[in-house]
Amino acid sequence: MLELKNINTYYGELHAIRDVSFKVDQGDFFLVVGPNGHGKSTLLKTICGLLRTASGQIFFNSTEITRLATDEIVEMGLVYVAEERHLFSQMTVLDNLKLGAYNTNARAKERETLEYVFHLFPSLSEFQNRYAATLSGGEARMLTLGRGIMSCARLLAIDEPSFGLAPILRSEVFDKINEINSNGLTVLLVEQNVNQVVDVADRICLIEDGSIVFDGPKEEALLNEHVKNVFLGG
Amino acid sequence: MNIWVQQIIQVIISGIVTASAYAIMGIGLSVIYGISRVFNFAYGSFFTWGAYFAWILFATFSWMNYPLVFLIVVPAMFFLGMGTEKVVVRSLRWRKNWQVTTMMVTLGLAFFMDNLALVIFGGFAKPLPPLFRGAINPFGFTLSVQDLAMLIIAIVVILVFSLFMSKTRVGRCMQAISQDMTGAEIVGIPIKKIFSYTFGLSTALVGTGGILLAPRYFITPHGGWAPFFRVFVIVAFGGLGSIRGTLYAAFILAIFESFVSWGLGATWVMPFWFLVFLGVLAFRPSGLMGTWG
Amino acid sequence: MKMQMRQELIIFLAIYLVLLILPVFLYKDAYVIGILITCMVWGAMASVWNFTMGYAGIFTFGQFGFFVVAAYTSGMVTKYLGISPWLGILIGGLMAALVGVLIGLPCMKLKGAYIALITFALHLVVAPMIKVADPLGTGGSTGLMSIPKLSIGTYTFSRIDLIPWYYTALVISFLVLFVVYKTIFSSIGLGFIGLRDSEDFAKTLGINEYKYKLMVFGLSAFLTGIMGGFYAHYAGIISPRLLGLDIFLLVMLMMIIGGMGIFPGAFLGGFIILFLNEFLRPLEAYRFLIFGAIVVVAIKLMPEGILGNLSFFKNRMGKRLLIGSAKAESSNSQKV
Repeated sequence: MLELKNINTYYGELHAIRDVSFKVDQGDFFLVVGPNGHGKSTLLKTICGLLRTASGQIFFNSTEITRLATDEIVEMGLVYVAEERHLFSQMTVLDNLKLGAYNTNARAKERETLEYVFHLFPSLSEFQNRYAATLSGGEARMLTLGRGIMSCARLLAIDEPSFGLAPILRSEVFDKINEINSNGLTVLLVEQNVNQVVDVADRICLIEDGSIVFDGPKEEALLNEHVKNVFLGG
Repeated sequence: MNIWVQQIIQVIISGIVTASAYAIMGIGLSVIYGISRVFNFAYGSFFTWGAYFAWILFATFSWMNYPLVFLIVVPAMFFLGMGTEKVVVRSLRWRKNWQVTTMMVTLGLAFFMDNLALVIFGGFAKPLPPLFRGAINPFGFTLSVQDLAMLIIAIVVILVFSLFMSKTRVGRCMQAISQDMTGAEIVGIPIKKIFSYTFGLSTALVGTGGILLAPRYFITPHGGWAPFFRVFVIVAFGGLGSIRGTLYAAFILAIFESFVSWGLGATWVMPFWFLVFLGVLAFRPSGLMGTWG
Repeated sequence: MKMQMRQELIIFLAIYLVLLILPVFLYKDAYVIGILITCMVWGAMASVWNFTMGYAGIFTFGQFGFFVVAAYTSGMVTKYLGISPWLGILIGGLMAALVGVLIGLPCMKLKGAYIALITFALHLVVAPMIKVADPLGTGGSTGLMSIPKLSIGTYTFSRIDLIPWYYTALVISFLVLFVVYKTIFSSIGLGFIGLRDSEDFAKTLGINEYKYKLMVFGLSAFLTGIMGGFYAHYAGIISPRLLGLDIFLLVMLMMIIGGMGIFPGAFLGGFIILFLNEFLRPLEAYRFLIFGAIVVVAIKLMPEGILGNLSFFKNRMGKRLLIGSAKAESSNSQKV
């Protein structure tokens, strides 16, 4: 579904992504792990068009999306859920969610998707009229994820959704993501807190220093010494 | 009623009327800044050209009237703005220091536009016919029908604008972009298109201001800079990027200006404006910060 | 780096050599001499502006403010207080520097585009302020007239023989540009390149951005002021017209040309632009149209933008020099 070929991205002067290639198949729960600051977020941002690659190609459903703008990529069904959230602070939770369904696909199904999101995250339904700026960390993360789901994406690229959350909330978030994955949504997840999410992942990819150090099915990953060290270290 | 109170109220009314035009132009500047983060130094030149377009229409067609002028010129300004954005501004955005570069390019554009007006229309001031003639006397105060019309038009514009921003899809996209540009991208809003509409909207608004103010003051090629400076100070005072702040500032400062003009004389008006600006710089630089950055 | 330094120094000196001997051929043509003097004044000003924007990364539109403040200061102290014009020029420069520091104190903390906005607004404000201060002797919108001429010993410069003015302009602009040149290639200049290209890296070396920026802003105000002071005595009359958008854009164009990378580029730009201006003069009002269009086109065509100087310094060579100079600076301050 998603394929990267020899992607190189620079963050200013820094060579953040070095010659990265991998594939995500439909229905996968693809987990990207690695130490902090080693390029995981940059990778997702590059895929979703927020950052430009210096070289390499990205294919989504066999169409090249390397040079496309983010809105075009979203129209194709590839949506980014940011770690920094980027919520619309002066709008209500409900308005944020509705804007999540901006793209043409999602617009038609907005009502149903909204029901689905409220079903997944009942608390969002409770405070749908609160302004996004007033939400707590955990609530904001739920909203960010909910907004991403509103887009009726075919692949959701999620960046550290559990960051800064209490452990209970963390497992809740991962459960929800697992749930939407089981319902057919392909998930590309970037995480640091891997312990709770490893079980549900299909494939695991380890990035260190901007390069892929390991890429394979979860079972293999768990047998790999280096990967285990990073898990324990991270 | 006491003659002093009567005079004071008259001064306030005069201020409110001027404020209505400033408010419209202030929204235009605030919008282009709050949403697309662009500072358009040719804003005053668009103001002038809006008035010149109106003048051309009046000069060419003897049957021309104001409703028709607005109907023709405002959309024309909108498209002119969109065109300018596409040709002049858009490609600069993805460069280093694009905001400063945009300022420089719009300065060149302003110069071009001002001198184009000079070449085409000459240096003599052009008059526009008044919107309405006559005056009414509510409660013993004098209010020219024209001023009343200006006030009403301004209120209508502000209402339409706020409906546009909150009810239409494009408006909500603009709000989204102004609150979090990356968030808007993430959600799939076509920001380039919205930037284009924003520039168009801003130009249409300033053109409207130009048409409204022209009957009062004659139109000259370089006449856009004084209003531009005023509007800039207003927007800075109210908080760059905040529409509400701009509206408050427009009314507060216009009323003050009216008092300054009445009490100290017209020569003190420009000094008043730059004192306000220096004040904003000194005491409330966040007035300049707003949402930019 | 040494190579580039030497290259630019050679070009710089070559230009001045040409300027030095030019009057030998042109002394009969007062018109051209006059233009050349103006070229030197505005060219030097454009060079200082280019240095402040492109090298130090301070986006200022206030240079004309400094120019005019110094011009009026020098004009007024010499006219009303009888001070020697040479001293007047210095006082003008210092006054401009003072204004620069006062404005710089709050501004240099702000992000680039804000400085641009604020300095431009200040530029818009200076002309009305001069008019309002008419009772104080500024001459209002008509201008400050009968500014005393320069004199050396018993010889007072005249308005007819422009050659002494020419050589004075030559010397003063040379000094101004020399100071700019020295600063660019000094540790301060390198500190700025570092800050512009990799801020975090430079900061870890202890380079204090605010301090540098303030120093440079004040220095650029002073140097611009010196040219302003000279201009006041040369022209004999100054008015708020100096703050007009036409002159602003002319000098901005010179600065844009300077942005192409070579140090004396903006100064050369002075000559290019002003001679183009003279060439186009018969077109009258259309001339401004052309210049406006040139500004827009020039900016759009610049690959890196106007402020993309010195790509050279982005490579490792530049960084090594940066580290070297930063080490030198920190060991200097340790001695203190």
